[in-house]
Order: sequence, then structure tokens, then C-alpha cells
Amino acid sequence: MDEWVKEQLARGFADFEGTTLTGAIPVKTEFLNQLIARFLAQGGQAPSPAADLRPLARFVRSATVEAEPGVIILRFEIGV
Amino acid sequence: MIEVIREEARSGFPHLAGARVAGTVRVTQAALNDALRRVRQVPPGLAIEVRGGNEIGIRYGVFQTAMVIVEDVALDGGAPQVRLALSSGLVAFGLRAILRGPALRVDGRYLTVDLGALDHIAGMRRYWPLLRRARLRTTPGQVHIEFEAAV
Repeated sequence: MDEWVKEQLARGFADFEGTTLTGAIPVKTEFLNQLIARFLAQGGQAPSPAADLRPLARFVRSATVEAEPGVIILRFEIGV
Repeated sequence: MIEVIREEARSGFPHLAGARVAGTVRVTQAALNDALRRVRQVPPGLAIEVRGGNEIGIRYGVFQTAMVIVEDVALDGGAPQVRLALSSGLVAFGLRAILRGPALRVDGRYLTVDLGALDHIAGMRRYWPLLRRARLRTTPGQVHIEFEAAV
């Protein structure tokens, strides 16, 4: 499965044309602070992703964040 | 940092409660056949043809038949179970003879694909309980997977 996904990624998800996704992800600040603490403990080194995800940025139609007490909400729309 | 994210996934995403994702994933017949070739439970040489109206043609050597995908995917709180209506009892008999393992089973005139039993996508098991709804539709050459997922 991983290999198949990597191959699709390398082909720019051409076989997924017409795909649309929307989402809202509330992330608790407690979790964000855990990530920040781990990031700082690693000397500010962000982990290298298993694959180059930069080509996926062109599929992001919109992305916004909102802050509410104790939570950051990420909203996004994706279209291939 | 990756370990924190993995632990979050292992625990069922407790810090992402309320998250919702919905959409339609469209996949071509070519990509599906490429994926099928990698699934151990699928006999080598089996290929599908995606037609309109939820009809799927199946080709395996000289054996050819068509099935109709049941639009609503059964979830029952676990892994999705995709059901396909077979064209005849004879086809059901033939399929029983070539299918291997619990992921693909024939009950009466229906072929059920239990995605939870496919080794190929075993990594998805922890995400299946997040699915709230899934439907399948087809247009010639493309499968449309409509879904809603929530934490």
C-alpha cells in the first residue's frame, strides 16, 4: 500500500482527478504544546517526511485557522 | 515529534476530538487494477473494468462476468464491507473456487470484500472506526468513493 501511494504521489495523483475533500480539525493546545516541546527537545530540528509532500500544496484550495479557548481549528478544502 | 503524532493515532486521536473530514475520492480503473495486482488475496491476472451505473466487469483468464456494486458500504463500527451483486449462481460457484482467504467471500449471489481483512491495507485498521458513512458510485473508468469521517 505504501509503495502504491508513493507511486501515485510521484505521478501527481493524476489517477485521482476530480477528488474533493473538506475538513475541520480542532487541535487541542495541549497537543500543540507537546509537539512544540518535542521540537525544542530535538534542537529545533523538524522531522524529515517519508516523502516529498511539497507537490501536494497545489491541491489545497483553501486553508484557514481559527483560535478558540484551548483549541486551534484548521479548516481546509482540497481538490485534485 | 513523529512519535507524538503516532501515539495520538494509536490512542484514537483524543486531542483531535470533533475533527470531521468529508469528500469524494475519484479513482481510475487503471489505479485500481494496479492496486489489485499487489493484493495477495486477489488471484494474479484478475482485472476489473469500471462501467457506469455501479457495474464492474471482471476478467480472469477466459472467465468474464459483471457485478453491480451495492452503493452503501456496510460499516457496523468496524472495517468497511463492500458488497457486489453477482450476475448468477454459476458465477458465485466459480468465484468460490478461485478466491482465497477471508477478505473475499461469496454469500449467495453477493461477493463481500472485507477491507479489514486485506493485509495490503492493514495499516488502515485504526482509522476504519472513524468512518461514519461511505458510498460507492461509478462512471465509466472511475469509482467515486463518497465518505464522511469524524473523531
